[in-house]
Amino acid sequence: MASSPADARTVVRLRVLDTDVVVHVTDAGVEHAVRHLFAPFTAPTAPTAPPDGGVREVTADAGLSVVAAEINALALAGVGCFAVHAGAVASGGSVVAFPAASGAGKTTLTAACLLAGLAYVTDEALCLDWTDGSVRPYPRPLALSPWSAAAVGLPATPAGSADVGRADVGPADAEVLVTAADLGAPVAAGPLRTAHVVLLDRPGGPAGLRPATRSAGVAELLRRSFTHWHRPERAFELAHEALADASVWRLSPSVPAADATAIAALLR
Amino acid sequence: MGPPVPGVRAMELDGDISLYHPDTGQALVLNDTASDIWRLLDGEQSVDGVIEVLAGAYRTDPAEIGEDVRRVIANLTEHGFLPG
Repeated sequence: MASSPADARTVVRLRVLDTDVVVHVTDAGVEHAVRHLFAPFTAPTAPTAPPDGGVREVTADAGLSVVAAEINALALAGVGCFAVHAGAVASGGSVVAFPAASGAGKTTLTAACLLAGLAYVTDEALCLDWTDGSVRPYPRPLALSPWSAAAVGLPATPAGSADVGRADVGPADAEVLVTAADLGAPVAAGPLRTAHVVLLDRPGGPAGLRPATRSAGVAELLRRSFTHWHRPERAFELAHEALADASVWRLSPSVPAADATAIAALLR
Repeated sequence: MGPPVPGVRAMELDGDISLYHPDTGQALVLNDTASDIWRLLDGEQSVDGVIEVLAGAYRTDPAEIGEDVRRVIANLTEHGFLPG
């Protein structure tokens, strides 16, 4: 997955979910960007080598979006929880999760929710502890396409955007990497429990949130999980336990700010 | 018809039953009608008996729901939740 160039001047040490990652950087600007984007994951000390014998290493000379994608892949490959492809936001310990496939709009909706004042849990993976189903935040940098950035009211290609400098990506297609702090939002902390699950339908349906069955929520959590195979029977139980005290809704994504307002209203 | 294959786990939320097969690791989420059918598959009822009971509960003609009931049972059998 990565290499360790002998001429790297700086390393940035991270602990991302359950994986130790060392990022090798040769540019001070890139180092600053990596430290900023992955601030919630900064490891205070040198990582302890995991049982399989190696700390995961990433080089940062291929563009920030590539670095972020590599770190994400490493973290998700090593995560030790019931993990579901989902965006999630929170307020006061209550989490709203929206499981969905890649490209369904999780990141755009998450960004809109953060701009609406909610706390950031994740835009990629809802992580439920195998033992008690509590939610572990995974506040990775949000990668917004120019369209998504514009949809939530951010500059499409600000200076220092993630793909600037990549020969294969033109400025009009440059991805924007932002943190919760960049959007004025906190990272969710403290005991977190799933309070609502929002199922994302295709755009163009009825506006607003519509009640859905909790069994539909179970089906979607299991369908979008990528670690259920580790402990399939426990995953089956957890999907039910997570929804035992939660409500399930359907949403046809429309204007991100309006959708975020509806989601924020669930947490009042 | 039935009973379910030994070891099959069933969990329920709001009247909808979900099933887990311990040998295949497969999970199946049943809708409300399929959940009602599952509850009747205790080994005591024939397929026609299940249809009759449900028709009475839904206040409809057995011919209206017979095909659906048989299809659900076939699906559960195909996925190993009922003995073949």
